[in-house]
Amino acid sequence: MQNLLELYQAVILDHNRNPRNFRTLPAANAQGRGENPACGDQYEVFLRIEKEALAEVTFQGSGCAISRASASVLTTELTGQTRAEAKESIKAFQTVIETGEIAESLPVSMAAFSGIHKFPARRKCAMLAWEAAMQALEEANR
Amino acid sequence: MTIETKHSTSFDPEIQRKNFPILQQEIHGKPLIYLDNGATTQKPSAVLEAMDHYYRKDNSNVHRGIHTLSNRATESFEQVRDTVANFLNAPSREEIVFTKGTTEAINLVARTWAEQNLNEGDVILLTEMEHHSNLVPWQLLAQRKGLEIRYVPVTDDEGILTTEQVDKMLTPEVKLFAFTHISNTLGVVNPAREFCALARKKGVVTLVDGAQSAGHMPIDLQDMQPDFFVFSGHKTAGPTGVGVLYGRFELLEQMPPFHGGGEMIDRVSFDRVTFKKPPHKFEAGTPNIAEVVGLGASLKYLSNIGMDRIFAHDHELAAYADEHLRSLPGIRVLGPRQNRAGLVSFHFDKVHAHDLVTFADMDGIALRGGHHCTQPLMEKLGLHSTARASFYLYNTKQEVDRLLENLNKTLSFFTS
Ligand SMILES: Cc1ncc(COP(=O)(O)O)c(C=O)c1O
Repeated sequence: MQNLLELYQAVILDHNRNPRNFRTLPAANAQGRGENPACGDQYEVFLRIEKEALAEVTFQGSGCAISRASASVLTTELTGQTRAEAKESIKAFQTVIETGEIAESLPVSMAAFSGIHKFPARRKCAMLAWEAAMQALEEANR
Repeated sequence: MTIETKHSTSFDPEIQRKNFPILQQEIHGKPLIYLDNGATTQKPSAVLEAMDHYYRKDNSNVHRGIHTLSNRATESFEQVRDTVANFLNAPSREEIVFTKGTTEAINLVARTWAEQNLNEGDVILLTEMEHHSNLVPWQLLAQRKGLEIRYVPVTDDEGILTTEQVDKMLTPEVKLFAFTHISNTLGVVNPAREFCALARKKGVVTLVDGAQSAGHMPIDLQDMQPDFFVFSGHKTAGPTGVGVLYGRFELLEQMPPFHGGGEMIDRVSFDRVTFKKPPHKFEAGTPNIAEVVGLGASLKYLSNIGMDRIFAHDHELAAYADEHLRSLPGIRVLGPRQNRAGLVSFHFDKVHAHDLVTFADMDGIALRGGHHCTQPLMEKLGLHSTARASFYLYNTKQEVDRLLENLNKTLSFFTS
């Protein structure tokens, strides 16, 4: 149970129940898709990039509590960041998921996912929207 | 030997459990409750010992040696063909082809019989509840040859397909009707005998996917009369990497070979080759001898218990689970209210299957969560995923109770 509580921290439960920026974004100028063919979970992440910064970030789709909460956290964290900062954030999140290690500067909402590295089958869930966001950023570079 | 169909008493799963070494362990400090039998079943000691014995005492190549070990290996291997023929009550042992599994058996039929006999404009009839392995081989063939695929529709959560529905769709353009005997997502048992009879009357060839049925209910092919019937050893308490294609001899005889190589030829010269008769025509190369031996041991193990008893036991657990699940808040249970096979899939509006499965795992319970390789069906039902509990001869009512307790706990965690 201890591990489970760690996995489903209050932050995650909250974002799962009340996902932020959970809508399509008609004004988006970049978007990415994340799909887990093993379970059918799928998300779309929408970015509205203005000059160098991510003016708006939203998401749509369905999946488990972990993937949904992590998509929601993604939108709150990346909004307002520059493209370069956003890519750094995604990499930092990936490190948390894979190692469970929390850098000092890491926002609490991202650190909440550190328990997931103990559940290898669920890492993919946590990364789904973040991979979609990376895809959107790379697409926008072209 | 014919299949015993009249066992008067039930068997004791608690006694059966002792024959399955893998069940004697704890997961996260709790006794393992294995409820993912739809994906693969566990293996009794009899199967492990038969394979071990084969490698320790009899290992040799089959069909090509004169020495004692080769004779023993060939004999053990070929005896399993009789065991399978008896288990399925097939008309003859020559109609039993060993494959890697259900998937390979279906691909074999697609690449040989269907490749030879289906032409542009012909229709393959499937159902909307097929596993990807009874979908994708036909889709690949249809793309290559300009065939059309039609699906007998699943119209509600119970998923019962009727003979009227099937009869209406067996139009003159239909040349093949391939359908699953038991749906791995819904737990529906399709009336295979009736479906095959309808198809036969109209000259339509049938393939029955027995992946979920062969290890769970009595199969009598002389009664069902399909043209092809396929199953996997790993879902009948046997090893992975082995399965069976039953094919009506007349069809097997006319079909071109699948793979080319050793074992399947009669005579080879530099410019000519003639093939062996079925079944060996379809078994190129050194086969999976130890796995075939293990399959034989598993089918004997199941027959000794009695397939009718196993079906009754699995059904009782699934019906019990079904009944209690339906009282949980926000749940949607898939599958028929009656005559359910030994599995039950369900969906909660508030908790995703993945989260459910992780919570179950922490209590030592192995469940499945996802689309169960039936993505088109899930889409039709408006679902992305469900959780599934699938039962076998070693599962008990107490285990179902533990599952229900666990689900209640998970629900309150996510909804309170
Ligand atoms: C109904 C059905 N058909 C086919 C298969 C595929 O079997 P295998 O993967 O052993 O080839 C499965 C296994 O999940 C199944 O449940």
